[in-house]
Amino acid sequence: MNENRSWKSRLGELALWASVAIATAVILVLLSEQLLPENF
Amino acid sequence: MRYVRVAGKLLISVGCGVLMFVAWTLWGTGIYTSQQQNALAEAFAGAPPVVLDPGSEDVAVPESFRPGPGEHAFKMSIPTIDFEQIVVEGVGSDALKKGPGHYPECRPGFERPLCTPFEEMWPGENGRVIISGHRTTYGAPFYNLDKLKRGDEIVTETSWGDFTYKVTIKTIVEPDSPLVVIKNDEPELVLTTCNPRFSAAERLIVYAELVT
Repeated sequence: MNENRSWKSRLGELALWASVAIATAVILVLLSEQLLPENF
Repeated sequence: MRYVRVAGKLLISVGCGVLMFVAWTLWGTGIYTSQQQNALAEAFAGAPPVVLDPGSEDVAVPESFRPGPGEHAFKMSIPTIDFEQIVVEGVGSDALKKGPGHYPECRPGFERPLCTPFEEMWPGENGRVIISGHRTTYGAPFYNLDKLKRGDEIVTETSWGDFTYKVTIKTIVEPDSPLVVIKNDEPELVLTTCNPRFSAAERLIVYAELVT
């Protein structure tokens, strides 16, 4: 593991993984009409 | 080793996304319902009274009163479970996002199987008033419906008067049970929701009879 990475690099990676999490949530919300039964 | 680390971070991120989705589904959807209920309550408070035929002994809501899909129908409160919401017209998914839905008759805007082939019944009338609601998500109006007991009051405030029902029977049926959406000449109220919580495997049905 590279311990000498800059804080900008670490922040950038954190933003990347956060955006992956948000994108996953948004996709699931958009698909929720199909995923969940009616009148759940 | 680098690929394993990236895969691990990816899985954690996707897992966080799934948790966000669950949180949105269980609680976030309630924000929309709450906003819709506020607007519906205002509209209901400002609605003109419905005048019944003074020559008729029985309550007979005129056909001129037929709200459209998702519009306010009447207010319902169940003191035992601290419930008070505006019931909307229709039991489609869009209507139920706003609050509990009153089962309509089949007419423009409502199609089978989410409507009845016979005349829809309103509180106070001699017939079965059917109301469906979410057990979880979208404010979970019927979350505590299983806590109702025989004799508990269900109060409906309508534009033609107030009517009180008392719970008689509570039962669980299959989702496609033909015993719920049926024509009945007895003045009764039927509440339906999913059972158990977080599942649509069964339907919880609460029957109540008109007392005043």
